[in-house]
Amino acid sequence: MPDPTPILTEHERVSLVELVNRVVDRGVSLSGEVTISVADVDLLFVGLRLLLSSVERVEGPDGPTPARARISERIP
Amino acid sequence: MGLYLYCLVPPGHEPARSLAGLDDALVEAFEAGPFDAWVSTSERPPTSDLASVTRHHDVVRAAAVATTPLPVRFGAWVADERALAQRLDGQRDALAATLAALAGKVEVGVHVTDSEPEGEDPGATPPADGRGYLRALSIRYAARQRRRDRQDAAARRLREHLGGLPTDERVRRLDAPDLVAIAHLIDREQEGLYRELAADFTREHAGTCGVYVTGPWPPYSFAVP
Repeated sequence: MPDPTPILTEHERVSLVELVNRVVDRGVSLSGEVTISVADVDLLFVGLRLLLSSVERVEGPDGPTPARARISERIP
Repeated sequence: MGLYLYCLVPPGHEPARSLAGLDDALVEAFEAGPFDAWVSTSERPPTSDLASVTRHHDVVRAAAVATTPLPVRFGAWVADERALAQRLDGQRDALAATLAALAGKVEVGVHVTDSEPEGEDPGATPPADGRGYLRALSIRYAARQRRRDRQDAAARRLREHLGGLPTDERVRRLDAPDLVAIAHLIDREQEGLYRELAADFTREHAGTCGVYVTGPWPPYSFAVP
């Protein structure tokens, strides 16, 4: 069965990384933002790792290349 | 019922009736004095996944059609309207000032890569002794400094090429082989000129570096002065 993971162009991958970096790491930070913690594990932190996985999944059917892995690693 | 916050806008800018945010909840304007806050109801903070992040951006981008919003960072959830008012009260003057300063502006992103090889990797072979360890450190430090110089040079060359078009700039150093990601704040009506100049820059440096222009974006990178 063909892999449905979309293959992105380099520009599309850059745009995606730029989007994620802006929305997650920029913008006004209101004091007291809520992050859910369970057993002292910051689920927002865990969520960002899941987000990294999400980005990797859209990078292409061949899995992360050094360039693609690099894009994932840069997400804060 | 909790509220999820997307952005702040000047008073009187209402979201479209059908604009849906996270979990497909309709976006509404919450009046907060010198600005309105675009919010949607949400029982709990959002899950940090790509779909939620892109939906957040979709709402902020919708606000940017008619005005310049002040984007709020992803994840801003409060328990109710009173909690939202309290959070905004604490920064009201600063938020209003920033919103006013960004009026009429958009953000443009430039992502620069280069093809210069990084050179010897001192970590490829474990050092045999203390001298080898110090040599590896020296090589690594020199390579890091050369890279910083290239990053600064790339940002400077682009800035000079664009002239006075950007009114503000944020530069983010990237890992190899990407070089820098630059955010420029420009007047909305000058986006076309910016793209022409960026295209010129791209042609001039074809073969030595790649330049990708993204945006225009709502001014995420300039939301905090």
